[in-house]
Amino acid sequence: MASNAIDNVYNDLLKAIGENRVSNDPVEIGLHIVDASSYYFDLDTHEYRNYILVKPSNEREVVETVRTALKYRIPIIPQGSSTSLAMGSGVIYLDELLQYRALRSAIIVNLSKMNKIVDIRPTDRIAEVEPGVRIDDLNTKLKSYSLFFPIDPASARVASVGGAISTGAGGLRGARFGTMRDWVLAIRFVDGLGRVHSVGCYTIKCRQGLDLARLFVGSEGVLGIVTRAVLKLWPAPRHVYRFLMFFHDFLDAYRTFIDIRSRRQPLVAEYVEDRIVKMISGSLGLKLPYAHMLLIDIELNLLDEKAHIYKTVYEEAKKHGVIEIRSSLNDEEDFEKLYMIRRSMFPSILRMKRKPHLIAEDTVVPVSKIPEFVERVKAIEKEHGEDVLLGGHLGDGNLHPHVECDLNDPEDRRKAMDIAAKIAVSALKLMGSVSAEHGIGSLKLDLLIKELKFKNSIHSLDLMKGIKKVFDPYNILNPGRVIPPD
Amino acid sequence: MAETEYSKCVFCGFCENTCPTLHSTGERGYGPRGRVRVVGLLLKGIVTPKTVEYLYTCLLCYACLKPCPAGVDIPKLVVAGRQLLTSKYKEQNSNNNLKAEMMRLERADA
Repeated sequence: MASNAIDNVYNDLLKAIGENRVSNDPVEIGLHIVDASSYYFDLDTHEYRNYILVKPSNEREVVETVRTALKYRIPIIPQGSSTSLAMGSGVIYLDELLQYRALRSAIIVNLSKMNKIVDIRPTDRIAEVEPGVRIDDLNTKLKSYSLFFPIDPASARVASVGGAISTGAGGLRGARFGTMRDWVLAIRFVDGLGRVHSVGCYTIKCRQGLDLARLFVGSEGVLGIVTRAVLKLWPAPRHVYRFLMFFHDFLDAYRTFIDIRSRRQPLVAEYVEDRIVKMISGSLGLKLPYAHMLLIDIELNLLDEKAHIYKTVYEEAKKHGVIEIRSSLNDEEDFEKLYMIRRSMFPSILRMKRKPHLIAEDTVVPVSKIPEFVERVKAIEKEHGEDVLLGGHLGDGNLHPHVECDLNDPEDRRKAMDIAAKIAVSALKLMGSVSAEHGIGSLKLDLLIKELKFKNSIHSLDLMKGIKKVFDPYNILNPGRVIPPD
Repeated sequence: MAETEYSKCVFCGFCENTCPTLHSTGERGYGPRGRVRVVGLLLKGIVTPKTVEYLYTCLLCYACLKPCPAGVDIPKLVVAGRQLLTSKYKEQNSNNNLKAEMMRLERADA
């Protein structure tokens, strides 16, 4: 877009929504053109002038922004906290030749200022919120009602509801509570023509024709911009027993989880492999066994159950040769100490890594296939002579493989992508999928195509493209993400 | 030092909810993640009055230091950014906007 054209867009937006909501300041733009997955790539200084930042505070301003974008046919990039791990919420994207590129011009719509908790209805167990509300802030507010919103991405402290809806986020409690698609009852959004839609219901039961609310969850901003959401809530667990266990072998940890699960479904079941545990010991200065870690949270219906639950977990763990077991009941401080080891997984890999960048993959397989998946990842590791570190959500089969690489070195980048592709194929062969909770963005478009081809369903892309066209006929909303270009 | 410290950041935002100034405006530049990025932009020569506003509103309270998974010394980076800005400002006496913003904040500080 020519520089005078972007100036016209800017002036129109100023007139429509006012100077407090619109910015073309290069520093402010610089804060919003990248996300957590595209942070390493930057633009030339003069390119910063091609973007406009809009910070709407209400739905009308979102509508005005879409109308202006339509008039000039300029792309809109909706974003929340910009913690996307799939290049979904900045202007930088990965093209079909796996080269990093930037949209030539765009309006970035940052929804952080739309952060009101509109209504909490404890009897109905629902909350109505704006997209900029952070999940942790919502849960803080819900404490006084003894309710909580169970979707718990590792980034919950910073992640916004809008972003979690767009990526279809999951998290630590996936095995017990699923992902966002199970917890969004209704959505208000602005489509690519500037029309406001309100889909879904305030009730758990709802048969409103085709289920557009759930279609919207995970659509990564390509169908519309969320302006409000109705979320389902759940009673906050009253008694939680947390166990931290170490095993010599992955299979021992896995079997312990399966056996415990057959007696009582855990709230959380997290795994960290031995090499990462060693990194955590090194980076935090702790004396942890060089072994595989399993963290399990179990909800107690009554406090009277505590001896029974302890015995059950202890016996199962012992049966599988547990080296060390620590536990805590209802003690927030102790919980934090035990959880710190799991929480330190990603940070410790970051600190101890030998190459400049770290790619966290997002494959998922059915729980029964996890051991085979781990075997295959080990084989890929051996074949390429590169470490692939595994850790994450054992409870739902979503173990994140971590691969170190130097993204600025084309040779090393290709190698990392080759490893990622092979891991993806392994997951597919084991009835799994290439992305569980991070989304497709532009980073995983090639893997999405691989998955659909593998399932003999590549023609399903036509359905996706058709749906996109109905919601956004001029392709202005987050173009190039989720749906591969023609 | 600034370059090395800046390159450690992964833009995860884990630092944000500890920051007292971020809550006052909700603007990314008023939070630690934003300020780290602002220093990065400064290193590239991208400077506007917003640079001054964002870097000089940091309270240097160190609340962001602990939650950072990548171990970025954010307060140190902010100070380095301020130093860089001052030297840059001295070089660019002609940049009246920057000067005005620095003076405005100095007045507010007093």
